[in-house]
Amino acid sequence: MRETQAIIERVRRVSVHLQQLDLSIDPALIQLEPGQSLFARLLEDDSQHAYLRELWVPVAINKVHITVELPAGRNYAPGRVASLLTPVGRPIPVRPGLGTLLLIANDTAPTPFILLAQRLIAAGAAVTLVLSGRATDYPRELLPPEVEILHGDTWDWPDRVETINWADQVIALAPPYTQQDTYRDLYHTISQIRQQSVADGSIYGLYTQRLACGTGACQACQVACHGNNRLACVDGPAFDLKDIVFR
Amino acid sequence: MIELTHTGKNPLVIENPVMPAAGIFGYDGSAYHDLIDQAKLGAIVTNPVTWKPRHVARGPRVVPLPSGVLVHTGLPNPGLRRVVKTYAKCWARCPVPVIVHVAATTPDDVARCADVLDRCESVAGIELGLHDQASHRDIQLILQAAADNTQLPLLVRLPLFNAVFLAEAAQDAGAGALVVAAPPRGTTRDPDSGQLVGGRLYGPWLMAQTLRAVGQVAQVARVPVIGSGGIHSPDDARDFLEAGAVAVQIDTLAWTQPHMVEVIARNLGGLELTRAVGALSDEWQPGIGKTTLLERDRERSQRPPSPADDQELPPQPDHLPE
Repeated sequence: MRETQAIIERVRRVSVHLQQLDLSIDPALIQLEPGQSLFARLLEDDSQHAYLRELWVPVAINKVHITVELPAGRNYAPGRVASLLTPVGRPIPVRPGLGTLLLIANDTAPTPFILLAQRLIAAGAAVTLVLSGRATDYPRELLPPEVEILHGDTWDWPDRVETINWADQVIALAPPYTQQDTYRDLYHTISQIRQQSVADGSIYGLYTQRLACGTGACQACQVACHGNNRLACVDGPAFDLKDIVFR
Repeated sequence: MIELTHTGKNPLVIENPVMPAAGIFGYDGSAYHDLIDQAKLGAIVTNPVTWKPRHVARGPRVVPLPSGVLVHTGLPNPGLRRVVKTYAKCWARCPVPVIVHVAATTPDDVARCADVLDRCESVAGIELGLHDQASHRDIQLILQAAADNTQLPLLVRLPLFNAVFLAEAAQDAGAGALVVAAPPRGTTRDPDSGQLVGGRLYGPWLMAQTLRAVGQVAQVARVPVIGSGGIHSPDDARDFLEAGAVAVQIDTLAWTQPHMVEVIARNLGGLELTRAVGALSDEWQPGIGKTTLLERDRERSQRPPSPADDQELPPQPDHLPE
C-alpha cells in the first residue's frame, strides 16, 4: 500500500444520486484492477463529515486519469487535492476462460461492476446485469452498451433460471446492512436452481462497506469465513460465497 | 531514553515517546509497513487480545460522526494463543518494543494471558484494558492475576471518565504505568442502515477531555502516565507531555493521515528536519539543521579576509540617478 496524491480535474453530476470525478493521478495507479479501490481524503478539508477516508471506486482508468463514481451528497470542487491510499482490496477473481458473467446489483448502485464489465467485454465475454430494488434507478447510459440489462425484484427477474444456468460465474452486490441475508439467499437460490453442488469460485459476493483504516489494522471489516476470517479491505471485496459462514 | 514503567523487575524503556494506541495498528504493525517507519516510533501496541477467540460485531461497525468516528468492532481476535503463535516471530523482528494489549475480561483469563505472554520473549510489556465500569476491587484482582503470572511490565489503560478515580487503585495494585485514557463510548445512528450503534468514539475533539484527565492523573500518579486520545498534531502531543505524560499514544490519526504519525514521532523524538528560519534557499538542503548553519556562519567569521574583501568599494552616491 502506498500514499499518493490526486487532483480533482472535473466533477460531473451524472444522476440525482451520483457524481463522477475525473482524477489526475500518479501513473502507478493505472495498474488498478476491477475490485480495487482508492481510500481517499481531501487535503485541508473543512467540511464536517470529512474525518474518515472514503472508498472511491474507479469506473474508468486511462493513462493519466481515473474516474470514480460517488454518491452525490458531498461537494467536490475541481482543483482540490486528495490523499489516496492504494490499493484497497484485491482484484475480483474471474474464472479463467470466462465466457458468460451474471452480475446482480440489489438495492445499491452497480458502480463496482462497471470497470469489471468493461474489461470482460473487451476480452470477449458476454455480461448480463440484473438491477433490482433501488439499483433500478441507476442510469443505463453509464453502463457499457454491450451489457444486457435486466430489471426485476429481489431474486426475481425475467428468465431467472435461464440466466443463472447460462452464467459461468455470478457476482452479486448488496448494501452493507443486507449483505449477509442477501448473499445467503442468493447462494441457496442458485444451489437449488442448479440442483448440484456449487463449484468453487462460481458465486461471489462483494463485501463493500465503510472502512475505518483500509489497511487491515482495525479488523472492523472482518468477514466470517470457513477456516480463517478475512478482511474486506485486504482480502476482498469479492468473496466466494461457498467460503462464507452465514450466521 | 524514556522509562515507560517504574515497577517490576524489567522496566520498559523506549527511545521515542510516540506509539500507536491499542486497536489502531493491528497485531504487528505490518498493515502500515509501507506507510510508517516503525523504527521511528517508541513502541507498538497491538490490537486488543482476549484469552478466548471473539467474533466481529454484527451490524454497522464504523459510523462517521462530525469530526470523528464511532467504531464498534466487538474486539474480534483469534484468541491469545493463536495471536502469539502467528505473530511472535514478527514481534521479534520489530525494531521497537511490542506491548500486547490484553482486554481484561476476567482475572482468570488475564492470568492465563499473562502466563503465555511471559514465556514469549518478543513481548516487552502488557497493557491491560479495563472495562468502563471497573471498580477498585476489579483492578486489584486483575492486576494481581497478571502480576502473579508474569515479570513483564504492566501498563493499565483506564476508562476516560473514571481515570482519576481508578488511577490510585491501579498504581496501588502494581501498575507500572497508566494509560489515560480508553476512548469513551457513545451511541449514534448509522446513516445507511438506520440502526442505532454503540461503540468507541474517536476524533480530534476527544483531546480536550483526555488532556484534562491526563493532567489530573499526573498530579496523583507515582508511576509514568501515557496520554492517549485525540492527538492529531505534534503540538497536541506536546500538550500531553506538558500535562505530565511521559509518552503518548496516537489513535485514529493513523487511519486518516498515516504519515502524520511518523511526523509526530520525528518531532517529539528530535528527528524532524526543518529549514532554519532565515536560511537562504540555496544554503538549505534536506538534512541540514540549525546547528549546521551556525557552524557555517562561524567558519565564515573566522575565515581570513580574501584580497577582494580588502579592496575599497567606490563611494556610493546618496541618490541613484533617475
